[in-house]
Amino acid sequence: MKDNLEKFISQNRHQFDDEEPSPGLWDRIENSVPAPARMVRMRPLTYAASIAAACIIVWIVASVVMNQQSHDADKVLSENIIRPELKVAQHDTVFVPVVVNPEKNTTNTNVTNASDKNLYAEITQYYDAEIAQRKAKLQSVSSGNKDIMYQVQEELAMIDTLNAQTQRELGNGMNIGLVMEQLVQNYRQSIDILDMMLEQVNEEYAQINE
Amino acid sequence: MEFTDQHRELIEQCRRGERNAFREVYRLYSKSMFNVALRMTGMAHIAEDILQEAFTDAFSTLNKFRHESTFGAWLKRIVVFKCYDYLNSKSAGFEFLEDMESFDQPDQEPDFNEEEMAREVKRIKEAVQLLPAGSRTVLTLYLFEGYDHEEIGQILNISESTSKTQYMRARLKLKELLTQSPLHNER
Repeated sequence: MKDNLEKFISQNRHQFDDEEPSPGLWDRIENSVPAPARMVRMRPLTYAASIAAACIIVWIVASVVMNQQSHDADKVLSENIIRPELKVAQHDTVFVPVVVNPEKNTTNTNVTNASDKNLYAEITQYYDAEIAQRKAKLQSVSSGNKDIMYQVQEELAMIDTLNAQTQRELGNGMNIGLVMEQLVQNYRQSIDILDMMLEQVNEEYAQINE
Repeated sequence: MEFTDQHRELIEQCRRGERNAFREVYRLYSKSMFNVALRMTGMAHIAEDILQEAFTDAFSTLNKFRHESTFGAWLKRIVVFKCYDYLNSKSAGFEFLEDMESFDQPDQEPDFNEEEMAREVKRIKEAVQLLPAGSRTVLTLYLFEGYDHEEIGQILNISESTSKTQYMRARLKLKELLTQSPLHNER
């Protein structure tokens, strides 16, 4: 059972919290609040990028397979351009010549070159943004360390070389599905390397600051 | 402070690193937590130091907060532990009241007006600060912060029965101090 003192305190509890800290205390606290742990957030981004890449590959493969279903079932998807041939009918069966788009390994004239270009642009745009983000983080964490940024530049130059090669392969009528898959793989590899560099730099700077 | 959905979203905003959210959490909890630290330590500048450490620790370890309690309860626990560490580190030690004679005074329920209420609050606060650190901590945690004796035992690393005993002694001593205070004798 509460006595009068306990009752008084219980009933007037809020009156006992009448003191306030000095106005400048928040400034001291704010200065010591750490920035969000970007390294931790890298993993969800990396994972999200993997999922996105997997989805794109599945979409590409699905598109190619669907296109194939409109052809004769005996035709196999290859890297060679299918040359149209005219067959002279000897019976009542008529072979209709199919116009083949020389830039693609498909005979479905409903698939336009523009959609491939859009897909290429979409992929490169997404991954270029991912890489730019990591480059900025490395710049920030390493305080613009020349050696580290030189390595980053080398990696980005490698991506440019591989992408240029990919573009040439697209123009040469190579299998779109395989080309896009290679494109995504190139980007994923570079992102993994940049992630590892970022992790390494973070660990080194953490050790220095201990 | 009652935990509300609004506060939960605010904590999530802090987790995302939104600086305005940190400030808002500080605004909501700083006064109550400061008074917790002040009651336990008795010194405003020490209470501020503890408050700064507690908020910094809380903001740095938000990933460890799993909403198993209210954020306020979680933060208060951090503050209480830091106060205890401070009191324990002092050269005077963390003392409790020894056996004392039971204090027999009629326990009349007073009737206060607003001015008398404020004066009584002041008296009680000053009298609490006259208790030894250990007894003051037990009384503060039970009477003001709402912990039960089992929780107090875990915080102070004493048994539940010790907490109960120390609370009874602290309460009796507090009443004695209040009865003997000049303001009481003026009434």
